[in-house]
Amino acid sequence: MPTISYETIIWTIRYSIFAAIMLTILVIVSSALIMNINVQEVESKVFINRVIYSKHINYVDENNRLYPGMVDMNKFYQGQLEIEFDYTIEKALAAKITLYEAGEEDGKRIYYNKKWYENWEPLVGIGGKGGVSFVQRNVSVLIKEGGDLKNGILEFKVIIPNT
Amino acid sequence: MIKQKRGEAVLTLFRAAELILFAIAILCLVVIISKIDEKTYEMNFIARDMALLIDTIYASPGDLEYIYDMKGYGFGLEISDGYVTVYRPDYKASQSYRFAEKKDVEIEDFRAEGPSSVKFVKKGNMIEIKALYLD
Repeated sequence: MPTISYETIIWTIRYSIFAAIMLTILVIVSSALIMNINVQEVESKVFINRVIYSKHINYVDENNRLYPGMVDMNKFYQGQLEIEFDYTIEKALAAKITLYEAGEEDGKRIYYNKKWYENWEPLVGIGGKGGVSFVQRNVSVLIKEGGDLKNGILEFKVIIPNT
Repeated sequence: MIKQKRGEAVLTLFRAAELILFAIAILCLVVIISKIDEKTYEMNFIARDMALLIDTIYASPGDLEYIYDMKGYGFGLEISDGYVTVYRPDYKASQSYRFAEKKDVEIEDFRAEGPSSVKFVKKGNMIEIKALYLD
């Protein structure tokens, strides 16, 4: 039966220490180099503003004048956001938008990139690579339904994966 | 005598293995450092900043004109297929970032080498991009 020699043990320990030291140096060098600029939060806010100013969600009168922040209920349905936002890649951004009438708890909900919103939602609160950036914002709006105008809240939940 | 020679051979092997490990570690460091150069950060910043600018231009319900200053970096710039790509004049490094196109607004593909600034013009359902050069 072969035995492990004294030298093999010593060299194994030596390799382990050496590997640990080199790994530490690599980690320190990598973390000291600023390669990435986090723009997820700004990107989420731009997304929200694009929705608020979108003619695919908001009311447009017969003179083609847009009313930002006046949500047209005839346009507030699943699929409208896919006209407004056309990302080349699927895993860019996902959002859940809920429209509440004033004083009501149940709202009407639409998603952008629903599949990935549901995949990423459990990762909210997890930072670093593999985690996500999450922005939530409530915006006071007017809801136009037929000829009626009501007060409402548009709740945005936007998720962008960290890079 | 034979045993001693065998022991020396084993020691040489161990030392050779250590040298190989050291070479691998140095190679890793060189790869990490070669991935970046002094302009990487600026290229990354411009790519993201311009992608966010295009997103913002899409948000505008009306017409607009905007001039983006490239601050004399001399970078090349390409805007196509939902990406802004900034690259070094020697094509050795580039950085890119995405933006969301709008299905009913057309944005023309754009490519320019070392512009001093870039002019964005949104008119109706069309976004035009022009390179500006200092005389």
